[in-house]
Amino acid sequence: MTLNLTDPEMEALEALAEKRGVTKTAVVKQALRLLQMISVRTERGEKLFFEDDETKAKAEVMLL
Amino acid sequence: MTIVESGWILERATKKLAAADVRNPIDQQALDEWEGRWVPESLKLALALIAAQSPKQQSLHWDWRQKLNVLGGLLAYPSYSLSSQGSLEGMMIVKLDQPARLAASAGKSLVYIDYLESAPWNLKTAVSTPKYKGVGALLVGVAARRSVSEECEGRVGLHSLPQSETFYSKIGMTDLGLDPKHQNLRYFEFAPEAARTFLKGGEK
Repeated sequence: MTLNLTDPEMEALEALAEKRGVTKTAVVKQALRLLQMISVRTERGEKLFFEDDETKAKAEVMLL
Repeated sequence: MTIVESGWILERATKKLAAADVRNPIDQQALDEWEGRWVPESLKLALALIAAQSPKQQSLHWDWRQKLNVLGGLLAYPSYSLSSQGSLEGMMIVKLDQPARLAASAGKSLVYIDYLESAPWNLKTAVSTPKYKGVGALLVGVAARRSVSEECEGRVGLHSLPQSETFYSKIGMTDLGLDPKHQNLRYFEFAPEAARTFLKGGEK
């Protein structure tokens, strides 16, 4: 399988790989696992939030 | 379902090694065997422990079918079953992409062992003559090898049930103390070097 990424997308992928100390393949796999879990759980009716650790304010992550 | 690892466990009565296969994922046949053999035996053991006023074996109430209903099919939660001589002897579910807690591994990922259970007749804290030794070690090895394949250098983390704490220390995992956010269970983690030693067959 070939991934067609724009230059900014490839730069983001390379930056994530460097930051996490893994290959770009590993980053793509992590992203896929995360997206699948989000998809399954939102289909079950759950919602995804970010929570501010200090204020405990929550912001819902709106997903398609 | 694929055999991901083959190894050996020790049959305590004969002191002979028995071949064991670890398969991924846990399938319907394993769940049927869990329900048909583990559950009745676990119930008998739980009642015996209560009658003897012994501490409860914390994993005896785990419902593997329910866990797989929720987590089965998710790439982030691979599951494994261990069989030997035609009998289901162990099961494990791991969670990928979890953050390591050891300071030297800050910012890195590890494989987290979410659930690991040996068949009730193997538990030395529950039966007077446990059948096999080494089921847990073989499954921890699977998790460590999965960690290597996921570029996590063998890092593995878990919260231990009290009766297993000595085991995880013995195989070289670092004790990071009780975790109040996780039922006050003790958290252990394999550093890469310790995982390498363990996979090569060395214990502390």
